[in-house]
Amino acid sequence: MNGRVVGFIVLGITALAALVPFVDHQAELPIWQHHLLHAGLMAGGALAGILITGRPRGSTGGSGFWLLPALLAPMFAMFAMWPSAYSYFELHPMGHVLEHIVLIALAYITTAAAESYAAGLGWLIGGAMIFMAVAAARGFGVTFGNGS
Amino acid sequence: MKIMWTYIVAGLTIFGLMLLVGIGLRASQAGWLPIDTGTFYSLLSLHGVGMITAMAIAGLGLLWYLVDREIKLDERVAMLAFAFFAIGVLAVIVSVVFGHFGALWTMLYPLPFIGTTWPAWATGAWLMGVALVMLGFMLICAQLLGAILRHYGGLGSALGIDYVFQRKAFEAAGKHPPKPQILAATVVSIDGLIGGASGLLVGIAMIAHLLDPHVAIDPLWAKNLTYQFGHTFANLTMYMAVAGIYVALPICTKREYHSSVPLAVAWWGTLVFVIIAYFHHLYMDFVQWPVVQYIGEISSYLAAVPVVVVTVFGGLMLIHRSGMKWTLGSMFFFAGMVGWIVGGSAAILDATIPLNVDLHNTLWVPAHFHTYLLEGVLLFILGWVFVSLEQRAGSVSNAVVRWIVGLGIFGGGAIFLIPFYVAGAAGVPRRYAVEPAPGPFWAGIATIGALLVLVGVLAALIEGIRLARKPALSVSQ
Repeated sequence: MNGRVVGFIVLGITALAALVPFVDHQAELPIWQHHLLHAGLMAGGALAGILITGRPRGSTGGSGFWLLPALLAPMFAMFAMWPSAYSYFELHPMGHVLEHIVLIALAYITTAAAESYAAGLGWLIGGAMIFMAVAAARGFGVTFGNGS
Repeated sequence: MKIMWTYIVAGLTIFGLMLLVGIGLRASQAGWLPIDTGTFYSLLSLHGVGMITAMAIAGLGLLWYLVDREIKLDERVAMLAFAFFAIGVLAVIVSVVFGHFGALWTMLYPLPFIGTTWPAWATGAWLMGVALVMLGFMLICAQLLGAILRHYGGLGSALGIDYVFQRKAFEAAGKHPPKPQILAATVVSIDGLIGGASGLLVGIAMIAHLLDPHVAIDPLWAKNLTYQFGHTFANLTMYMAVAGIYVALPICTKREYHSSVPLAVAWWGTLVFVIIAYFHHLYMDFVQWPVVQYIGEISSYLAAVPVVVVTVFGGLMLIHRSGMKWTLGSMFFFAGMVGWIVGGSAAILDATIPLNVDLHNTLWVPAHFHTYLLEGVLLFILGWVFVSLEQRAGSVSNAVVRWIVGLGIFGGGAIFLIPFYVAGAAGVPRRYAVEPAPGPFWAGIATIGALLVLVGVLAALIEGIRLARKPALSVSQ
């Protein structure tokens, strides 16, 4: 099975996971858990982007302008993980699923664009994006300690 | 060359403006120049972020050019990044000059939001400005890293991993290790992307909080991310400029700076440890996990010591008995290596936990980073500028000019820096508009030193313009 096929399978599984709010629309997760689940969806989108777009190592890459979406998409993804919007989305499954699809799409764009510029770059920029998504769980819309 | 000069001239211009601001701040602390406290903290915010950005822009211009010499890069991407830098710098200036933002470059949460004396839009402009600078920085990092990955066929080859672990097979295959400046560029790019990701995350969280105060932020989390990005960004300015040593010293000494196993391994140390050394900024945060405090101390040593030792030792071996002429270019590089060692040693002392108990947030901290930036990064940048100009014009500066520049920048620099160290050791706190004794006395001495630095910088500027106006030496000459 080649990488592209695996990539489409990963993308399909991730897209199915994005539909969970239709099934479990009563779930009220703490923000930090919600961030981590979003990070998981983004990891699926990012992996799919690498596998589907990936080129052989050392191959001639594309235009440097691919770097712009590769760097802007993770920023938009962090804005899409706006913590105070989570309670709204938990009551509106359609919007919640749409948010998931946006996150997966942005993660896909990040790594696909990076790989389009240079083979291997998607892993590094995608890794930095997943780091942002996971790190968000520790403090973006969340406070720990002092009983809060 | 166009990209390199655009970046270096822009960086040095910002540096010159921030130097004037810095002199005003020290004169104010000495009681020689009346600046009200609100304006002082606004100007200190501008000076801090401006100087780091200036050195980063100039350093990136140099690094971009050095990589472009080996692997062709798209100039349009560099110009796009430059546009991000320009708009970002403009937004920061607007935030400070018109909005009087004064939460310093660290903008530690919740400082920019609680009890402020400036409007909310100023905080927004500041955050957007810093985010745009970070985006420009990450764009260059991604461009360099992608080009290196393409050229070397992967990270392992770019970092010399196969060269170190399978050396016989590597050499038998007729391969060559990555050049030292490529090792530097790879490390700067990777760590720059990681540090930039932290900076963007905390920046976005603060923008979200600004727009919607219901978005809570964990202060310790924000401090970790802010320093992870800030320390890494500031530290990487040195490693961008260090790449110039590997190319310029061979020009000065007519010898080659080879990659070696110790050099590659030293750069791996920098790659891994620069991004976690920042924990040394949080020693006083007792709620941090104790283990990361130890990681911070160990990483501070491992990030800096190996690469300094190997690079400077290699540089000195190149210079030793090479018959190198003491031109402005070679002088700057030699003095820059001294500044790198002195500033780095002072940083490591402060990162040593028993010493940090006394030195934390005293003037010792600006002492080390002013040494590092003014007598390290800046000198490498100026060294590169003058080596390029001397090579192009086929002539060097006379002894009088060299003495004026040397006494101003190195001598004045010492008079400027020593008061920071002495006052820091005496426990004078940093970031105070009005310092307790003996702060004001030493601030006065430092102001005189900074004025001498200004004289040296102006002399270097005039000499640089003189060399640049000379007709280029033809290749046959």
